[in-house]
Amino acid sequence: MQVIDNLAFGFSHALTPENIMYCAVGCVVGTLVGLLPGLGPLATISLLLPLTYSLPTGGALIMMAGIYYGAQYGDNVSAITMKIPHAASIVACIDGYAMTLKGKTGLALFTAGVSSFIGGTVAIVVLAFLAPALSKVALLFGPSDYCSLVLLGFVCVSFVTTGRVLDGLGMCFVGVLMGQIGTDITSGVQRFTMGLPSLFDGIGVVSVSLGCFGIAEVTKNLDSKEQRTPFNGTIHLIPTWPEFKRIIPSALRGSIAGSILGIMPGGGPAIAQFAAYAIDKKVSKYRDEIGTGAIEGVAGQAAADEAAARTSFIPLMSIGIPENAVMALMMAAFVLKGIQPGPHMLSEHGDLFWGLVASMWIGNVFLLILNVPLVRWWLSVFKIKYSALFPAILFFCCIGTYSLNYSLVDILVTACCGVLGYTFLRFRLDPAPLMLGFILGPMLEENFRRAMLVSDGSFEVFVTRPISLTLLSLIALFATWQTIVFFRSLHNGSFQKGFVSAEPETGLD
Amino acid sequence: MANVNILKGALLIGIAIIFAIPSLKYSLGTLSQSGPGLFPFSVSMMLIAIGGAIIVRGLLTEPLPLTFRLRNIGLVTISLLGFVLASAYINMLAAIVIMVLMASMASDDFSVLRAAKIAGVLAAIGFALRAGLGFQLPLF
Repeated sequence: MQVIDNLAFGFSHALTPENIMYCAVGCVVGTLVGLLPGLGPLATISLLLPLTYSLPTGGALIMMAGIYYGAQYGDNVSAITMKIPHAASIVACIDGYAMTLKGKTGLALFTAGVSSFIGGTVAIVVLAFLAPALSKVALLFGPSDYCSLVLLGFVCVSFVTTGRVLDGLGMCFVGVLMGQIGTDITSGVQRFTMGLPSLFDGIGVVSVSLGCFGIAEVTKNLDSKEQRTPFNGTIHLIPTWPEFKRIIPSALRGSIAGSILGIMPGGGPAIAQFAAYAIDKKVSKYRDEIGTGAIEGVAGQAAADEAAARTSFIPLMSIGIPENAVMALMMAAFVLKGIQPGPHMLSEHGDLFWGLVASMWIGNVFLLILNVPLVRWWLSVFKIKYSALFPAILFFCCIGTYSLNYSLVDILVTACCGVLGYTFLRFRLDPAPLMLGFILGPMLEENFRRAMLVSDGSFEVFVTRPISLTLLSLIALFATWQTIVFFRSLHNGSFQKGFVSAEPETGLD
Repeated sequence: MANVNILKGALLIGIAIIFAIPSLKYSLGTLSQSGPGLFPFSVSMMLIAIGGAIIVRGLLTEPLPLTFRLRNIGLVTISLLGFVLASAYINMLAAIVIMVLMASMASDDFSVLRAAKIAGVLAAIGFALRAGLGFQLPLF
């Protein structure tokens, strides 16, 4: 069977000693930095991106992916032990923390680890089957279809990350505009560079991500002056057999929900966790216990988290369009390494593609055998005082930006992005959609101009092509629904945010 | 009282205008033969529309106060600026010390001794990155 051949081919690449090492380092470092309070996955990935500059392409991609799902697990750990949520671990704070209060931290961490493993494994099977098929579909996409897909992505991401479509869309467009800075590829005209030579190539993605997420988040944490009490409880990892049996069905349900939601535009862990939790609350045998510290409340969401984190690579690697902000950053990391993700990645870089897929499973094994037992040591990062931590984070922001081009001006650009990102946070605008807009902006422009060239300046092309028409109708449907919801809530006297608002939990203030 | 729900719309409109005005200077062209200014100009216009809609929404909903603390972001920015200037004119070791000292002032419990310790650790990390991972840092 082709899929098995492909996976075997991938494992032969991923199982070289160097690649195993890169994977292990990525997982461990990702988990550690992911644990740090106030640093979400976007900040974690951009802080650790410099580690991969000097690595060979294959190893770098494997390490980046390891950092990503390591950070994901780290988020889960800090949610379970100390109720510190990140975007992808809001649900883990409910039952996970309730289990900690009952003194079952070890069981919760073990459940999260095993469920992540199950979720990841299911997702890799989905990835191996679906990615090649989808990349064939992607070859049917014309320029207008790409435009519509990008716009749909903007709308979905805005809704999922902020709960307020308008705010998110605004941030996407700010990102698109920031992506316009630099030399126009078609005409060679320099746009918005203010005559500064260092801006001729545009603002670097590393500057934007470290500024808007690293520096801005660190400063916001400084403002809030929150004192975290480090976790001091005991951890007994090994569960009893009846407890172990309860993990499996819930984790499998979560894996399926996560795999599906991971592929959708705007999807990914942030939304998959809610779906998995809701499903378990409906169908689980122990549904009455969920919310008070039930195994199912941890297992389902952890599996969904991990599954969605992996299947969200599918749109990136087969269509070439990242579906959320984290994947946009991943895409930037791919491009930095000279790989353009998209339908041709499979045929041109088959070894990298399947090597990455296989390494995801190896990464899963590392999470299970390395991070789950070692977690009590990892938690000691919380004993470091924030006043010692944040100068170090600033230092890594400086080194990360500097060493990409060995340019000090880049650090100034990062500092400007930091001020901008902080301003957005204070104005209660989540900068995550900005990242997506920034990465996809140039692609949107290129495809828009191409579509207009082909259609001779007529917008009809967006509605005559079936793919584009379908995508645009989805946007229209969504906009109508949101408007109705808004006016209805006004009518009821209280303005409700969207059903997945991360605002209070991620602590915008 | 500064109402964030309205101000954020204004902020987005402001950003849109910053981009819209220069993009008019680049040629717009026609839709089928678009110039370099057309796309940024259209995106700015959409952003203005979104900003307008946000303001309207802000007028219809409960106001929310704006909190903006200049001190910390100011100190962080100045410390980064110090890092760049010291790296350019002295070397990166001095830059690390300067950055850590300035940034540490943003924390409540500032102590020179601890800042010096942090700077020492970071300098060691800098040397390790240079020797181990091949980062070409102009440390001295």
